[in-house]
Amino acid sequence: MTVASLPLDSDACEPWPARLSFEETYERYFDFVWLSLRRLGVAPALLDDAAQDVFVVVHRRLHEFEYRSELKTWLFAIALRTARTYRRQRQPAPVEPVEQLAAAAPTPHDALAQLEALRVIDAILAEIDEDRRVLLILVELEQIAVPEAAEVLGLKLNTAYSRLRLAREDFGAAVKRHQARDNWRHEP
Amino acid sequence: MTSELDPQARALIGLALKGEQRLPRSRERVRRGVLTALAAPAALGASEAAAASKAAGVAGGAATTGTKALISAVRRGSRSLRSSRLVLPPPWSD
Repeated sequence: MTVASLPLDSDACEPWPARLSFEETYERYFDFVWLSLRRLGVAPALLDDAAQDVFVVVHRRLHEFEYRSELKTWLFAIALRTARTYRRQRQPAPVEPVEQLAAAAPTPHDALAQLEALRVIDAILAEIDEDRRVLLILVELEQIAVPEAAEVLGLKLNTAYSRLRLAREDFGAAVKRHQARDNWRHEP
Repeated sequence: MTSELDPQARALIGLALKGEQRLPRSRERVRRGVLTALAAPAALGASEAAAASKAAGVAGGAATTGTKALISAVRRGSRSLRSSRLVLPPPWSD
């Protein structure tokens, strides 16, 4: 390793993150962006357009990103703004066709279980207040640490923890409601 | 402190995440759309782009009607190119 390639910050234990080109960023994070947009409520028919908008912004601004935070959270922030625009303009998302998922799953049982879970999660996320939903997506679905999620959302850490607690309660209660509804439906 | 997520809810999320991974998506189609959108300003011509850029910087809607029309055309053009199959060289590759 040359002196020039050493991190300037002596406290830094992590290796200095390599700058990704736009193409590398696209390859590595396309799925993440696409799924984030979907979770944030962009209609399936508009996901490609929204993902395109996100990556146009990424292309224009990637050089400004300083790697002080995770690239993933920076991309999420762009996806969040894009999703808000799309949700304002368009109708709520219908669920994906069963056949698409069923065709790709290892067994029909797996396919149905995953599809049902996805439907329930979609419905529950749509019910939850946006501020809480976004935090839930970042922390519970993307496994991003709360301090980092707070930073990307511009929240104080205590506010983020408090909001996350409420989001988890909302989510847990909604899961129970859905299960109760399903059990009632399936009772003879 | 935060409460943990309900185990049933966590199991449901795990299952849904597996399902999400199987959803079909159009990685290449979006890539072409990005390239097209990035190339659109260049296709307008330098003078038009400069006029649009200048007008866009005018605060309070002081742009002329003609310039506003040009900006609208730029926006329309950018949108309408989305479904185009035009394949352009990547602007990020030198």
